Amino acid sequence: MTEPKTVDLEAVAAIDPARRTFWGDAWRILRRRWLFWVSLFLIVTFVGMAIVPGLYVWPSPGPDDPSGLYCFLADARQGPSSEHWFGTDVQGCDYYAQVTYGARVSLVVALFATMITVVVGIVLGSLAGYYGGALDSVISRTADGFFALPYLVGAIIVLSALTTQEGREIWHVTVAIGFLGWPSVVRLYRSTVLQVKGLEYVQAAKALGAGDGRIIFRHILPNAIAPTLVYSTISMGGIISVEATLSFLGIGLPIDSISWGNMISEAGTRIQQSPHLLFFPSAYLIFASLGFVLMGEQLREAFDPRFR
Amino acid sequence: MAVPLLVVEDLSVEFHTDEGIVKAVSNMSWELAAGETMAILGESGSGKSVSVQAVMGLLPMPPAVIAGGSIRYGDTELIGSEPSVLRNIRGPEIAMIFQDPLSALNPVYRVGWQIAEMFRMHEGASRSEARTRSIDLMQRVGIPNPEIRFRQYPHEFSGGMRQRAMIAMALALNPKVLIADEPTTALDVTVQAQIMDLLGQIQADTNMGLILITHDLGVVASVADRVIVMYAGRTVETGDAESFYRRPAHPYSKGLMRSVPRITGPLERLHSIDGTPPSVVDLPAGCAFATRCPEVHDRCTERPALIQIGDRTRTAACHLVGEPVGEAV
Amino acid sequence: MFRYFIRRLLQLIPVFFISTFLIFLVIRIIPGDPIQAQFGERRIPDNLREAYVERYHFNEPLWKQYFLYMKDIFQFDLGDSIANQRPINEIFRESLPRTATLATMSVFFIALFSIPLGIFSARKKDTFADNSFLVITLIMLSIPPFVLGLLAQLFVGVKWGILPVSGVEDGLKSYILPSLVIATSLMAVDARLMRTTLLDTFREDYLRTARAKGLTERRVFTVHALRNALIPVVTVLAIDLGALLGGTIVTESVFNIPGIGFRITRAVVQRDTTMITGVSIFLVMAYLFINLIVDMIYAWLDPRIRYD
Repeated sequence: MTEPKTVDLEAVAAIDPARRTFWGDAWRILRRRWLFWVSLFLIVTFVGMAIVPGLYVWPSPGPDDPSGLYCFLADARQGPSSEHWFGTDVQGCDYYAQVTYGARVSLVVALFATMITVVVGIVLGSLAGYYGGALDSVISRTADGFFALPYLVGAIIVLSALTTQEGREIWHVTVAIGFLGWPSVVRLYRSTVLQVKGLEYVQAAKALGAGDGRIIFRHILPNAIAPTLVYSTISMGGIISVEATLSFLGIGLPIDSISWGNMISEAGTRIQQSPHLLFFPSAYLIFASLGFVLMGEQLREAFDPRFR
Repeated sequence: MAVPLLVVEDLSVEFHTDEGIVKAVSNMSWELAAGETMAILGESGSGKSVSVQAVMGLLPMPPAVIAGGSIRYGDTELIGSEPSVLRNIRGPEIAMIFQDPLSALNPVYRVGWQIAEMFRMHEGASRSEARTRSIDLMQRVGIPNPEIRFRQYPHEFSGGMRQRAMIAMALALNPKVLIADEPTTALDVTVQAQIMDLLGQIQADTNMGLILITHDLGVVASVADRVIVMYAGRTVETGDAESFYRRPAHPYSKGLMRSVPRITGPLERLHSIDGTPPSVVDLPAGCAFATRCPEVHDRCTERPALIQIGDRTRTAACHLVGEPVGEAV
Repeated sequence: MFRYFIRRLLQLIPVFFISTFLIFLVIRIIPGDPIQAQFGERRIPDNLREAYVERYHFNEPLWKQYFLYMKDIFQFDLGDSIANQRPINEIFRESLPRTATLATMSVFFIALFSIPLGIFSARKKDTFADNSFLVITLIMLSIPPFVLGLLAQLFVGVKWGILPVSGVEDGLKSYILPSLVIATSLMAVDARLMRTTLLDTFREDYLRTARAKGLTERRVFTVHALRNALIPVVTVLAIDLGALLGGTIVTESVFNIPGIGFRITRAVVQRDTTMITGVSIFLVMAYLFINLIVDMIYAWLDPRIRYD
């Protein structure tokens, strides 16, 4: 009979030198997909527009034109030309500059609304999923209650409740949108928490005496967050659209703020005469939205266990 | 020896994947006669399921490729046959049951309907005729209250009953060969015995040939006439069950036998076979078992052919066979 | 099946009350005096104001208002619109059919396109056709409906003149273009869903069993695979119908269709709180009711669900 052998740990480790982790695997999958790079490019482009619009627009402020927006009323409503790539708007301002500056508001609103939704959603979802019982019932039923009202209707109601037409500001819109999005995240996150909760290492952490807070944040969160991450990315694309829609309806951002929604809204009445007023902000809107949605898709496929 | 129903000769099956060509089955040959029970033994990944799925034509043909050999049922060569020809053989002549009856049954259709489908599709039976025959069949395989059960859905059946339903579906058209791919692995031990008894009984009644895929030596011992042992896609041993059990020839078979814990006799440390099976993408040129074999020799760098042992139809793919090495286990 | 129905119905009740209470609450917070809003700048005589307050119970504590309102609801009385001085039910009778037509036609188009496209794409997985499908649907769902609506109006209506773009005078024809616009975004989502579920179904073991039974590929695909794959898709189509009842606001605005969406935007501008409440509560009830129906459909299609 052979001698009993001890397990050779070095040999075991040698089998898998890459020491694969969930996130490492995901990254390896992501970086091979060309659509990931496309979406990343789109996102970076628009984020760049939002943070440093100066990179994309080269105004040369002069004595007639301190803002650098080239607004000359005489040039109003011209189509695209070599001087004004996107033409000019109703007030004669260079449309390309306008559309570029519009990125900031849209992305800022989308970002903060998403952050609100995600934070609230994760906190409530953790509580509901981890503790269960009455707390879960209350949170879930409330979330269901929010669901029953169509998103846009809810947004309209909340916005009119928060302010009047005159007093409306960007943060009102942000909060309204964010406030309506949390039920979806709660549902989603709660269900992943429920799955992760039962896994062995969570039980192990409990057995070792880890406190609830620690378990929820250090053990459950990193493993439950993937679907929520996917969802949030995709919903950022959606929120960009929602904000524009609200502005179009006249219930969104204040009229004087430079946003794609407002631009499209104004362009709507002049489609025939000046179609370029509609096209360019629409195109930017669509591509910005597309960037996030596409990225969300790529993330989803990278996290999907089937692709391993 | 009776005229063989099913003859497989030098069958090789490959999977063409992104990571390389997987040689799932290499040069497999066997024959099955009426009334015979043949067990294909091996661990996961040994190619046992792939080989019989090739016989049934169930392999997805883009990744899977039949790289060589022939499969003959009666006079018909199955490889390369027209789909319509194969469809008349699959089901009516050669039937198959699978490992997990819950996932193998369509959840949205009633069980009776799924059994009756065999009669309706292959024999053009009317709905009432198909129903009657199905209920009889369900009775025969031991499903109680078949009239009621006929209208139930798979998730309303217990595991054992589901497997009986699968068997009913398979036997509907009185096939000459039944392939059972690990039919009892997903079931409780007591139910396992019942299902094996059922299969034995049916075989006695109909004289059908039975191919049993399993990794469970106990199952093999009670029912098999012949055994084929597979490892890494290759056949490493064949022979009649009884002498296989008494004296396995191949070191792998010996390892398998030794791993079965014994209830009688003094307590021993559990034996296992060291190491892991080789990657099927990268099969070694020599004997596939060499890296784990306790009796490995210099000659083992050369792939061994199946050598006949003794005067019965026993073969083993090992260079050491033919010499008096095997000890009684 | 019946028991399942009752159980679902009971689960809906708390959701209904939470939802309606939230709506009630939020609307009462809306700044501005709803009564004054109906009279613009004019001063309202006291007895007239008192009459209004009496009629709408504005001076009662909130919870009592809610209670009285609910009482009316259960008698199917949604109250009166402050702005229009008409029973809301009556206003509904005019506007609801229009929204319902729009919603139904949209879902019809969605089903018409998304199911075949999804099937086609699934069967041709990984080919150029499939990849194009994925990219095109992604773009489709990144386009906000109002942008698409404006563009459609411009091209189809004005330039090419094939379909009506405004109002409802042309009968059913008026609804075609708006329905197509609505259908476009949702069609993209549903078609992808069809593709995904079908691909998932292709991996199921029972298809292997069906082949082992010697069935034709055609039968394996239609009877065994498709029947299973359609379940989530049909469910989603029903959900779409429910969601669209409240989700046509934008399209109604662009195409001038006086349906419920139109009503609610008007009501917000007019500070017609009773109207807003009425419409919202109706939408909630419609959503819950449709959800119930959807659950029943799902249970009918998938026998596993009935025995929960």
